[in-house]
Amino acid sequence: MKSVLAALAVAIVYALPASAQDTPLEYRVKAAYLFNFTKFVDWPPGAISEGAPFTICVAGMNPFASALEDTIRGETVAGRSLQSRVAQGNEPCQVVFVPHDVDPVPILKRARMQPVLTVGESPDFLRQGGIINFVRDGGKVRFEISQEAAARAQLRISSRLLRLAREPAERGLER
Amino acid sequence: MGARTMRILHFLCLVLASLPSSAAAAALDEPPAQDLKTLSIEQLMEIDVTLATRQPEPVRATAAAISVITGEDIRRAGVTTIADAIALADGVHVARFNNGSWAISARGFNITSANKLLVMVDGRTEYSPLFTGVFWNMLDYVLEDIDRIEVIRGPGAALWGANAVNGVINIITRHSRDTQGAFVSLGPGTEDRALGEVRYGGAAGNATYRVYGKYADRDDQVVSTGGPAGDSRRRGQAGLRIDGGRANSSTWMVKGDAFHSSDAFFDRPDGEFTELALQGRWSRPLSPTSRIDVQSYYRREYRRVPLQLTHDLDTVDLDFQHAFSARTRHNVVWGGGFRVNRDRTFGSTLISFDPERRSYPVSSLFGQEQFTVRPDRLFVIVGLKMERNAFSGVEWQPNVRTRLDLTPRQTLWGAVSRAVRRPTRLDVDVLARAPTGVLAVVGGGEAFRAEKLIAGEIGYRGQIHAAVSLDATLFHHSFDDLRSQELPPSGLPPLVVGNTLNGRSHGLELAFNIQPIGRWRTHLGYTYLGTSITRDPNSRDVSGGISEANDPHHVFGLRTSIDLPHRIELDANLRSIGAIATPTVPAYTELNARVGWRATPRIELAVVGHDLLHDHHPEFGPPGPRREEFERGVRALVTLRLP
Repeated sequence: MKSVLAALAVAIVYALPASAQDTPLEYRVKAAYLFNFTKFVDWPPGAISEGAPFTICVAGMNPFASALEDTIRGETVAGRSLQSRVAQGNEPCQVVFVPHDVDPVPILKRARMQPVLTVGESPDFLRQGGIINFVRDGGKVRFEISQEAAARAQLRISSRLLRLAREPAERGLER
Repeated sequence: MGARTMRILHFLCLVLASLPSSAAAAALDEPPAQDLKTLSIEQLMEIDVTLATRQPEPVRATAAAISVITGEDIRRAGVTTIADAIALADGVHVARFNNGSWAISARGFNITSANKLLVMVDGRTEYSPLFTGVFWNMLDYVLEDIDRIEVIRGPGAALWGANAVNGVINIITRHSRDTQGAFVSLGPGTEDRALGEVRYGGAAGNATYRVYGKYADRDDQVVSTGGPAGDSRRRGQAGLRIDGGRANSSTWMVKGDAFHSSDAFFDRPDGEFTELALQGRWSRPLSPTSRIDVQSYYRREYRRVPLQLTHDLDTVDLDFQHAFSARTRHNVVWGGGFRVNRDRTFGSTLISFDPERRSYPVSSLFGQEQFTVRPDRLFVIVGLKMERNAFSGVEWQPNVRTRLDLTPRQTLWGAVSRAVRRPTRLDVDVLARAPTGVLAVVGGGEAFRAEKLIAGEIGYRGQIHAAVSLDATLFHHSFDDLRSQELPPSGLPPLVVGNTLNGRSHGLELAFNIQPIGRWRTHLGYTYLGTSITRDPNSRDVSGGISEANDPHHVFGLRTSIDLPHRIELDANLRSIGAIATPTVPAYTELNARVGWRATPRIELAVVGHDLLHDHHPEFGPPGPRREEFERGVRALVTLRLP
């Protein structure tokens, strides 16, 4: 017993790094997803005011560090330049990402009936009225889509994206 | 074992720590975000983001001790059987007995016919109803097409039903949407002389499908003297899976698999083993907050072990469940199922069943509610399963669980559960004879009762450092009515199978995920386990329970994976298993290693070495000249993936 615990301790000490503050791969992947989503969703005409950039907002805390910036730098959506910002209140956003440690309810309430693509990463996000929710499937990032919520927001989601979406909650442990 | 483990760990740590620092830094830098955005959604879906900072998934909300082996873990381990893949899970003791038998259990009571685990493939029960244990030699699949293996330690009976006593293993195969295109893998080696897997996946309308086949030819192991054990085997499997429907409306899945193997024995003609399974599932959302699932399957097993037992067994199962949430704070799942098993047995002078044929239905109803006491903080889960079986009637299996999220990344949970291992033909109807023909043991008949467990568990899961996460569980299991072998009052054999033993097990399960940088992942698992078996005061048991459990106190595992430049992958898997007592097997430490090269997105080459530290070593079974030992081996692997 003693020797095994000692071995555990040794292994951990050797394996510990000096620094590990880069954006986790998970959020770099999610940033790439957010950028990709903009290509598969049609916003209704007039959703963005004339000449304004297309904006992806991150609600509350920003888990991406600079990864989202890096992803969309120099890109365009429907001929508009793409920008990202951390949302404080009532900025006009076309996409809002709600990190898992931010309460989505007030944000979804504000976005309700607006042409805003809401994207979350918490188990109840679709049930609370969100449109796309990231889920972990084994070690992979997958997503599920609420077509009902998309229709409410007047967004048209391409059938290709819908086909790739996971049906909410596979039978399995959630039973 | 201590000194040896220490030396090997030291060696491994030194190797890892002594990478030249500049090369290591260059090698281990992750791809920048710029690279990822050029990937398609399909490609993004395939990236494994498993991290030390793994956040609680919905699965984790069940407040149980769980360990998930991903398809990527299996690929990087280079294993060739499902049983060996399960050995990657924390807190599971996997011991090989020979090429076709394993002893596998979590939380103790491990024997080659361990009967307290519920094992499923895509929700289809895979243990044999004959003894509620798994014939591991018949459980196979194209390992590339396994999405993940979820292992829950401890009882899951309130949801899953009888036999989810010491744990639940659910093998989940990939959606056919995720296995499109052609896949060919060839892996000849010193032990697996031939191993080939082929799969093709395509789409038709709004359905996707895959068809697959595999074949493997495994060489003999050796006995302790070094001579061949005479247990070579050939196995093959083929099958298909079709998935259809659309997200947000009804979806369906149909699956069929056929397995056959021919296994050699040193002292008799070959055995024949066949399994056939057909499965269908249909699922439909009734509203945004409610969903219904219906599943049905047919499974047939046929086994012929010359001079021992031949049997066939058909199972038909139908079950449904309905999940919904009410008033936002209540999540409810309820459902029920009905299953019929029908077997025919052809015994030998050694073992037979009376009656020779029997059908035995099982029906069940369950309900579970998760109540949110405080949003994002405190949850209480209450569940109950009622099950009626043909041997012991109605059994109740309740549990209460609670989960407290200290922070979004730290969770405490606790559970109290009752579970039963229901009686089987092997307890009730068995007749076992000594080689002389004298009846030695007879089944307990209607007097045999279910084995009962009361379990208490507490656990912690959380990130304890930017690059380190910890999963720790303490448990205490208390068994009543364990299977015994009673000397009749006359004092003369045969012994009668009874229920006069009690068991206890307690333990500590630790798992660390360490990921200092994206390209270097390390997983450490350690389990301490204590088990004991005692007799009731009126017991006439003469077995002392030694045929019911044989468990090591310590199981230690260390896995590390490094991604080097030029798409080279390095993997090592060290395991150290403590000594077991009845029968005695000494402690051992073994090492598997893999070097892989993803030459192009379509071609992958790998070399895998297994059991590298000894010429051969035993893992289970009584000492003696016939005990099997497992040899050091190497295999090469060529894999082709065409879109």
